[in-house]
Amino acid sequence: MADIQRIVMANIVKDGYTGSIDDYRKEGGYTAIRKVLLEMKPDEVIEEVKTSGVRGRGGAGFPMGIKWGFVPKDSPKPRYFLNNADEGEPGTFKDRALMTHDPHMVLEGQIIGSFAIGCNVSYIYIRGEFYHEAKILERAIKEAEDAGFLGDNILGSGFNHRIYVHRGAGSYVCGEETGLIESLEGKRGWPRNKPPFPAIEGAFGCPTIVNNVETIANVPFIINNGGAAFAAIGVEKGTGTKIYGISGHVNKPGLYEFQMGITLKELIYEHAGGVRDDKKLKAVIPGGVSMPVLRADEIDVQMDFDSLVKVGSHLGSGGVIVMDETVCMVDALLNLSVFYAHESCGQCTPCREGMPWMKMIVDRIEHGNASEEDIDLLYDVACNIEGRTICAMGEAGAWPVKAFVTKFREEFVEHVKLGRCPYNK
Amino acid sequence: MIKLTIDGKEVTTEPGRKLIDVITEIGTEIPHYCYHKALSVTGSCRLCMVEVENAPKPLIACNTIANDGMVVYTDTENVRKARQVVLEFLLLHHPLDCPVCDKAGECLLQDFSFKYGNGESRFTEPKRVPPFKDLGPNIMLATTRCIMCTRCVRFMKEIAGEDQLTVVDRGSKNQIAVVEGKKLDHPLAGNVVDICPVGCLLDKKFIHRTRVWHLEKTNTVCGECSAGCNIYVESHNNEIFRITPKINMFVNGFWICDYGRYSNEKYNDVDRLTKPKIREGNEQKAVTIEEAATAIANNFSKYMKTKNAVAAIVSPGSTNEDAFAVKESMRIACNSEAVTGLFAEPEIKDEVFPTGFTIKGDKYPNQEGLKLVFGLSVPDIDAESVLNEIESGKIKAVYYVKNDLKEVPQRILDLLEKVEFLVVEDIVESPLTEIANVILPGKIYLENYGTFINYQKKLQRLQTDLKAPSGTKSTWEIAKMIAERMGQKIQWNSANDLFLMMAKHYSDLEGLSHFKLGDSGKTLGVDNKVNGTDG
Ligand SMILES: Cc1cc2nc3c(=O)[nH]c(=O)nc-3n(C[C@H](O)[C@H](O)[C@H](O)COP(=O)(O)O)c2cc1C
Ligand code: SF4
Ligand code: SF4
Repeated sequence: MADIQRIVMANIVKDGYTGSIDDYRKEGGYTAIRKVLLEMKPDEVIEEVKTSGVRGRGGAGFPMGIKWGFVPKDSPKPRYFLNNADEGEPGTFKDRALMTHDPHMVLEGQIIGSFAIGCNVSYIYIRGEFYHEAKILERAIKEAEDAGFLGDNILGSGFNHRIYVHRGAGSYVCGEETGLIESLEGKRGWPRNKPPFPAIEGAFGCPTIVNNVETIANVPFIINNGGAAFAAIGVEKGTGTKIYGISGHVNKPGLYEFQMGITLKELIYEHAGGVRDDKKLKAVIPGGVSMPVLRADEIDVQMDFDSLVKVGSHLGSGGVIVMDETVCMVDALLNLSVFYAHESCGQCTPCREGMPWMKMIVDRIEHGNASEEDIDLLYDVACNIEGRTICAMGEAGAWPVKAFVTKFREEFVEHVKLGRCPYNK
Repeated sequence: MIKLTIDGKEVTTEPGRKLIDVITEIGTEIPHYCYHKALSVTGSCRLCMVEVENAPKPLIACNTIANDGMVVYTDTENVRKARQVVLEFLLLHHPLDCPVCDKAGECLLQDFSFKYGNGESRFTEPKRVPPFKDLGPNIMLATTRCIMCTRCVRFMKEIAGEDQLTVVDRGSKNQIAVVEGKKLDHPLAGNVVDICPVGCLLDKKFIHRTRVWHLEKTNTVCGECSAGCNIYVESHNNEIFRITPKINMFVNGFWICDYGRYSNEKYNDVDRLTKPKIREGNEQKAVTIEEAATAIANNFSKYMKTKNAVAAIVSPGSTNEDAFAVKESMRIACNSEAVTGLFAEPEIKDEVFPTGFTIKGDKYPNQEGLKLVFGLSVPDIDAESVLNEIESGKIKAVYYVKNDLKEVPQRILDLLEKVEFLVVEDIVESPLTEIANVILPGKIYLENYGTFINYQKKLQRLQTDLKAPSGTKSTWEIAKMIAERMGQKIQWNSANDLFLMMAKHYSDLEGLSHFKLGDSGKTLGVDNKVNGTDG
């Protein structure tokens, strides 16, 4: 069991697999739901998921079973289960593939999660740009309804459930779980202060669970094979597998699913075909652009939650961005800074004012209109944002700046000294 | 009750309260912008940070519930840093145009930056300069000064109950805007100017007219309806520049309506009566107040041999003291108990807003007061019986105290035409003054001292800093003058004296004085016997 390398992409990689309900069922799909609805109690499902140790694949890495357990058992209110398919983090493109190529695995996970927390209506909040994927999901929902896996009295269990697809309007912050909830409620996607946490008071004032698409897609496996079997895969506190989405200057960019704990080096050089044109590697962002960048000499690190923390970064969404020696790190940071300045929802002071300020400073450094003090100012502004905002967008925008400036300071200084970009960007 | 420690001091409070309220109550300032006691919490300005023991980083005090055993610090290095950081961010794009900003002097951005901010800006980039916007009939948005606290948006939604304001665009381009197809013209809209912590939302009627530090603030009661909202009249050189709400949690909360806010305008726009007049034939001739009083006394003396042949009608816009003075001088000097308020059923409905703020349909501020002054003591004399006796000719002379801009119903005008001798105290010429034998120039409530009783039976105090137009007199002065001309000795020399007399006369007012009414008034029958202000 422990050598299983694929869970959520196990079907997708099979030749001829179309993701239709028939294909999914041929591969053993919709057996977990039968087991859950006919043989298990909600608490037993939560226990199984807790045992699996599966942690969130959306960025924060929170253990899914523990989160589900936070839903108050005695609340008379309805509960909501929200599937976070906003996938807005640059460098991240895994959820899209799961929804496109194996939508039923995602739906089955979502129905089981909903059963576990006692929820009769759940939503897939999908980013606006994923029009095609939304259509696929809607078709899959219809198929599941027709097959009796959604609707009233599913499989004669007495459990009723419906899934709706809700399309966003293209805002990064709407992927933040409380921004998502506000947006789902029809308001501006302005994240909420926590507490209260969504599990206590989320969508429409009711207990709500938000999970990422990939996290949810693991649920059928956990039920079919048992939490312990899942926990045996990967590393301690980083159980199961993970999709690593590799982009940038590698020969074979794409999605790779491996056990947690594979090293970044192995991923890049053995699976993604190494750096293009045999160029020298300069930097790698290991988990989507919000996660601190690593230098080429730091990539001998295991790609799991705790190992990356040890080198000052995070697993995040698992979106690996590879940059070779031709990349100007100031230019790369400018690209990111423009993104964060553009995507700040503008609700809270440090992020609304700080993100554009950082962008302006990086822009001046890149174009040679800055002094060395500006590099320190940039770093200081990032520190001033961090930890002082309503949502984690503050960290998402501040961490890259801090890491770029710390790890590639000499490039920033070079820009300042030359009065221009040495890469002529 | 729970106990927590704030800056080393042990504090006891009820469970479930916001840390910011608990801390503020003990007199420690927590600077903040987006938080407002009456509005929902957004926690967006990020200024109200405090340190709580065992919390990994400073917390915003507005969204943290005070817990038993909590240890809180409000003045640590981390807290000071957090404030400095937020204030620096807020000032990045601010135009720093305090010298031409109407908020200067009462601006929280100015005050907190001075107290908690950094003296210097590290921002060298070009500033955003979004254009100013017109939001509605009375309010504009000095967009450059906005700090996006969204108090105004939340006020309109939560208190006014109509989303007239919203936020448009995103991120640093966020702007307050009027909802498409609407105007900011709600009857409570003016409050957004008061709660704007900076100089962004401006009252167009106040713009560039004065500096706030020139204004004298007097707290009094609005007289435009029976709600009795507590207001500040802010004036300079005897001119009212603005009327703003004074907080009274038992009456108006933090708010007033725009009828009250701009009520002074309608009194400014009229030609006030300033000279007493006496009718001679078809003409009304200006006379001195002494001559007027003598003429009144002479005529009243003719009728007073018959009891209740002289009557007085007092508008419910009058203070209790003025009504009582009229009543007393009628009783003492004119052999009359025929004194009544001109009570009126409201013609329009109350406007009630989501959290309970109400603009009353009853546009008189003191019907309750006049009921107390007149109604209770002489049960069988009411407005109808007085009017009937005018009709039947029993009442020959009437002293009518009006002092407002409201129209007198035609029925009453017709009746009063039958009276042999009509004295009218009013503020402007009107169909009523036209038929008067003597006209006396009176004062409006904004120029008066005394008390009103609102619809909740809350007895509240009126005060003023304004000098009424020369030649005008308070009702109690006129009533006294008439009685003295008729040979009586009158002891009152102020509204205050009259109140003390009333406190002896009416059990509901027992033991009270103007002073004891304090800042939030007293509810009759509930707390007039209790010492101190209620709360
Ligand atoms: C600015 C911001 C954007 C986010 N965008 C996403 C997203 O697109 N997809 C996602 O699954 N989680 C996103 N997250 C994380 C969510 O808030 C949340 O932690 C996650 O959906 C929980 O699911 P998980 O526990 O299964 O990972 C974002 C967080 C932040 C702060
Ligand atoms: S941190 Fe940024 S994105 Fe998050 S609430 Fe504040 S302004 Fe919005
Ligand atoms: S509600 Fe009535 S008392 Fe209050 S401000 Fe408006 S008019 Fe004046």
